Amino acid sequence: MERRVVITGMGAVTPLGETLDQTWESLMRSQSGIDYISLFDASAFPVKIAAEVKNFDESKLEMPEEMKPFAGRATKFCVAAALEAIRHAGLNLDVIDNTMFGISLGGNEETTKLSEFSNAFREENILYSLQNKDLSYFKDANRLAQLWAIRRCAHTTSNILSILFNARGPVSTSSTACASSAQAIGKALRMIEHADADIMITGGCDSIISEFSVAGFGLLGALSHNNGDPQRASRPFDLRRDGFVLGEGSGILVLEELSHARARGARILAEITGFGSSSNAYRLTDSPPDGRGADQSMRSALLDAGLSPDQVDYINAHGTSTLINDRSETLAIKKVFGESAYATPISANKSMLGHLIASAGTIELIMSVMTIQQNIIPATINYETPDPDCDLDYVPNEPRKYEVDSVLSNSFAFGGQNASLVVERYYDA
Amino acid sequence: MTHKRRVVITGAGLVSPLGLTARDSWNALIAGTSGINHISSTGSPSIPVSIAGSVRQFNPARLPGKKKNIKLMNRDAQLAVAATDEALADAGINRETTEPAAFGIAFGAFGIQYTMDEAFGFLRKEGEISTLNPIWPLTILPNMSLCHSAIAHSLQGPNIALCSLTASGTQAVGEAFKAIQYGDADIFIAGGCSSLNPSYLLSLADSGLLAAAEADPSASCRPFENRRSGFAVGEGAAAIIVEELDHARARNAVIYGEICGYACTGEEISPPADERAIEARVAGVAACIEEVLGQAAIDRSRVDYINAEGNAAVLSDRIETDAIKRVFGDHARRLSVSSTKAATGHLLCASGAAEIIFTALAMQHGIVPPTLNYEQPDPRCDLDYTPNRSRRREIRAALSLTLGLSGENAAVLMRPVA
Repeated sequence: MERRVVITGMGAVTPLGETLDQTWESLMRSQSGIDYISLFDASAFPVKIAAEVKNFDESKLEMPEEMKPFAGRATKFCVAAALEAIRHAGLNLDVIDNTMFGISLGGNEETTKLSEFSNAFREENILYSLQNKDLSYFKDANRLAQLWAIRRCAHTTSNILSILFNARGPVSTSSTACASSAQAIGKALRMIEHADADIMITGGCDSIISEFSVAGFGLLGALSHNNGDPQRASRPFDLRRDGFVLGEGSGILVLEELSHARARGARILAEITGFGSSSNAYRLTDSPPDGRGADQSMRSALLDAGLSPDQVDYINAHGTSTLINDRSETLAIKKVFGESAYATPISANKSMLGHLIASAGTIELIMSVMTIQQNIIPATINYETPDPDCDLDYVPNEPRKYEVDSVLSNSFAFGGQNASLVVERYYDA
Repeated sequence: MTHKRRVVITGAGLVSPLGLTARDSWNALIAGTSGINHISSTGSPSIPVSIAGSVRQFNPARLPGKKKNIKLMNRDAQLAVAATDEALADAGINRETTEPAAFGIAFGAFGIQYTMDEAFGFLRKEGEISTLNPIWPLTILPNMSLCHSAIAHSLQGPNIALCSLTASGTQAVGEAFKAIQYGDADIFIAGGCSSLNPSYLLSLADSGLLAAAEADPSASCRPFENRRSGFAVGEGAAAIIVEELDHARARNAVIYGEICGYACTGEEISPPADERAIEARVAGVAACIEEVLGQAAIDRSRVDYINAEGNAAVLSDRIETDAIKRVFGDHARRLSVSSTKAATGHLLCASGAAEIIFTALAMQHGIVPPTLNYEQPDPRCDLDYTPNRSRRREIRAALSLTLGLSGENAAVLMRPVA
C-alpha cells in the first residue's frame, strides 16, 4: 500500500516576521521585507540592500546554552523554526519511535561573514594553538565559538537538530544552492514513502547576507542594484527587474506518514503528493533560453502527484526577479501547461521576502500550504510594467481570494539544478 | 508495498591517491601500495597537516567538455568530472540512445571552500571586491561538482546533491539506489569528491581525528591496529553507474554486482565517551547493518567481506568491531574485514563511494584488499582485518560500512548477479 505523506506542522523565521503567522500576515499585507543592509557596513558595496530578519532575539531561543557557540545565525533561525513547527504539530517527541524520526535539511551554515572569518584568522593564539596542538586555549566558550565559526559546514545544522530532538533515523543535508531546501523536502518525502521514517523534520535555513556573498553574487550580476528604493527592488516578472535581493531565514515542516498522523489525532494541514528534480546540464550561470530542465522538473513532480497541468490551481514560482530566470520560468510553465498556463495564477513570494537561497524553497512551500488553508494567493508585488516575454497571470500587487486545492512550487538553482514540489488539500479518502 | 526493482552497478570511475583510474587504484591497492605521503603545501603555513594522500599527475586539461568550463572548476569538480567520465565510459553506455532526461546524478561534496589566497586577499583589502574573480561564487559552492559533471555529460535527470560530510558519498549511492528501486529513474551516476582544500584541512587540523605523522608517512594511518592515532586526509573522486537490472541486461552491460540493501541512520556523538555512550553507538551501527541484511533477506553467513569504515580512530574502530561481532556472532571471525583508508587516506566525501567501488571489485575478482600498517594487534579489535597483504577469497556477499564523523551510520550490501 502506498504510504501517504502529510504536513502536520510548520514554522518560519523570515524577513517578514519571526513566526509563521507574522510572516503570513505581512505577506497578506503585501509588505516588503527588504531594506538597507545592517548586518555589516555595506556603504562601499555596489549593492546595499537585503531582506534581513529584524527582530530575532537569540537570547530567548530555547536551546541549551552550551550548544549555542556551535550554532551560527542560520542554525539559530532553524532551531526557532523547528521548535515552532514541532509545537504547531502538537508532536510529543518523548513518545515517538525516534529510530523512525529523521532530519533532512537544505543547509548553508557556512562561514561567509567577514567578521567571523577575520576574527578567527587574526587571532594569533588560535594559529599558535593549532600549530602546537594545544587545545587548552579553546576551553573558553567564546574562543571555541570563534574557531567553530570557521569549522561550520552545511551539515552542522542537521547535526544540531538531530541532537536537540534526539532523531535517530536518517539525517542528511542537501546543498543545491537555491534549490537546497526543496531538494531536502523531496528527500524527506521519499524517506517516509519508502518507510525509512515515519516523521521527518525538513526544510532549510540560510543567512549569507555578508561581505563575501554580496560581493560574490554581485560579481555574478545576479543582485538588484536598486539601492534607491529597497522595497521596490525585487520585482519578479516586471519589465524593469534587475536582479534578486539576498534574504535570510528558515522554514521548517513536520512531514508525517498519514496513518501515524491520524493515530495521534494530529491536525493535517495538507498532503505533499509530488516531487521532481532535474539538471539543466547547460551552463553554470544561465538557464537555457528554451526553459529546458525547469519544464522537466515540473513535469516529473506532476507525474509523481498524478495531476495533469489543468488540475493545478496555483503555481508558487521561483520568480527571482532576474532577467533570465523569470523569462525562462515563464517559458517552461507554458511548455508544461500549454493553454492552461494563461488560466493558472502564478506568484512570486520573493517580491516581498527576497531570495532566502537555501531556505527559499521551504518558505515558499509553507506559504503554499497557507494558501490552500486560507484560499488566498499572495501577490507578486512591484509588478508595474508588463514584460512581453512574461505574459502570464502573476497575481499583481494584491493578494487574491481563490479556491486553491493544489499548488506547484518551483525552485531552481545556480548551476542548473531544479526541484518542484506539489502540495494538495488533504481529503480523507 | 509495490514490488521493488533490482539495482546493479555497471560502471566505476575513481581518481585517488592510488591512481587516476579505478583499475590503477585497484591494482595499487591489492599490491599493498600506500598513497599517503608528505605534502609540501597546504596553502597556508598555519595549517598543521604534513601528510596526506594527494592525487598525483592529474591533468585537468584532458577533461572532456569545453576548455572554458574546465577553468571554472575548482579541484573537487575537476576530479569529479574525471571520475564521472571514466564511469560512463566503463559502463559502455551509448549516449546516442540514452535519453539525457533519464539519467540522474547524485553527488556528495564537502561544503563551501575558500582558498587561502582569496580569503586572505579579501581580508587584507578590507573587503575590496576587485580582489575577487567574478565567477568566484561558482568556484566555492558545494553543488558545483555535480553541476559540472551534469554539464560535461549532459545528465538532465533527477539530481541529488549531498553535503553530509564523510557520509555524503555513501548517501549519494544509497539515494540513487533507492530512486531506482522505487522507479524514479532507471539509471544514475552517483558518487562524491573532495580535494585537499585548505579550508577542509583547517577544519580537520585540530579535530583529534588525524593520524600523528610517522617518519615513514605511509605508515601513519593504522586502522584497527594497537597504535592507531587517526586517519590521513586524502583527496579524490569516485563515481558509480547504478542501473536497474533489466535496463542493464537489455543493453548487455557488464555487471559488477547488485546493490541489495542500503540504510543510513543517525547516532548522537557527544562527550563523555563513557561505556554507556559507546554501547549506544555499537547498538546503532549494529541496527544499521541488521537493517540492510533484512532488506536483502540474505543469510548473514554469506557475507564474506566487510569493507569497514576503519578510520583508525581509537573509539570508532572498536565500536565498528563490536558491532560486526554483535551482528555476525561466530561468523564475524570467519569473514574478512579490511580498511582501505590505510592505503588511500580518508577521501572524505568521496570515501563512501570509493569504498563501494573497492567492495564491488573485491567481489568481482575474488580478492580481499588489505589493511596496511597492521603490525600490533589491539586486543579489543580481534577480527581478521586482512593485514598487509590482499587475499584470494570467494565473496558471496559484501558489505561496505560508513561511520560518519558526526554520527551517521550507513551500510551498503552487495552480491554478485547470477
